[in-house]
Amino acid sequence: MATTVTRWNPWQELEAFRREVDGLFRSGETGRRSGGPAWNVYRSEEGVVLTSELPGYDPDAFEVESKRDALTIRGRRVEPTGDDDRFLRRERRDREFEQTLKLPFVPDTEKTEAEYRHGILTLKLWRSPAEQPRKIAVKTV
Amino acid sequence: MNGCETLIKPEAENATTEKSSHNRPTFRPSADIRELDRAYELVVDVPGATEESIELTLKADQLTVEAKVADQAFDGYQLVANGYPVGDYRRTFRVGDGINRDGIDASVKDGVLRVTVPKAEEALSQKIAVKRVD
Repeated sequence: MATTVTRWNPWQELEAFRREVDGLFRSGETGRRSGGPAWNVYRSEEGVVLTSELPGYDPDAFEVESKRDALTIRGRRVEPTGDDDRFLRRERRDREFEQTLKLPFVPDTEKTEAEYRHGILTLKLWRSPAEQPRKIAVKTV
Repeated sequence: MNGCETLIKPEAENATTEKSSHNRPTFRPSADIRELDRAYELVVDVPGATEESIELTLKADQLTVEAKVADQAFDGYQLVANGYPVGDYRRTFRVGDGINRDGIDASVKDGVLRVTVPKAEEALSQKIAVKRVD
C-alpha cells in the first residue's frame, strides 16, 4: 500500500479552524441571515470567547442557552420613552433578537460564562473535558 | 417642519468612518435626538466606551462627542473571526441659541450615552393669560 507523506502545514490547520468558525455563523435556523448581532470570535485550545456590541440592552432580558453544540442567544432593547416625547431624529432602533450559533465543539455548560459590560456581551465557552485536545505519550519500545 | 429642529441637529457628515491617527477606525455612532418639554435629549450608542473615555466638548454652536474604546483581548486567545471592527467614536451636533449652555448634563450606561441639553428659559413656551374685558 502506498503511503503519502504530507508536510505538516500549520496554516492549513488554521484554515480548517476558520472554516469551522465560518460554520458558526452560517448554520442554525436563525443565523446571521435573520439580522442577529455580529460576533467577534476568539479561540484557544480550551475554548472560545464570543463578543458582541449590544448597547442599551436590558441585561435581565438576555438569555443564553446551550444544547449540545448549538448556542441560542436572546436579547431585547427597548428605549424608554414618554408619551409626549418628540423625536427630531431617530437612528437607534428597539430590537429583539434570537440567534442560534453552531459551535465547533460541545461546551462544558457548567463553566459557560456570560458577562454584559459597557454594552458589550461576552460569552466564554470551554470545550468539555472529553473534547479537549489530549497529548498521548509515545513510549519507546 | 418646525423651526425647533434647528436648535439641535447633527452636523452634515458624509463619511461613516474615518481613520484616526493611531491607525484604527473612528465611527460615527447612531444617535437619537428627542425633544422634551424643557430640554433636548441626545442618545448615542457608544458600546465599549466608559465614563472616563468619553469627552464632550461644546465649542461655539458645536457639541462634539468623542469616545475611545479599548482594544479587545483575551489572554491566550486569538481572534479567529472578525464579525465587527473595534474603533473609537466621534460625532458633532449643532446646537442653536435656544439652549442653556451651562446646564448640559451627560451620563453613560451599558454603552449608551445620554446628554441632556436644557432649553434656555427664554426659549420655553409660556402661557399668556387672556384677560376678560367687559
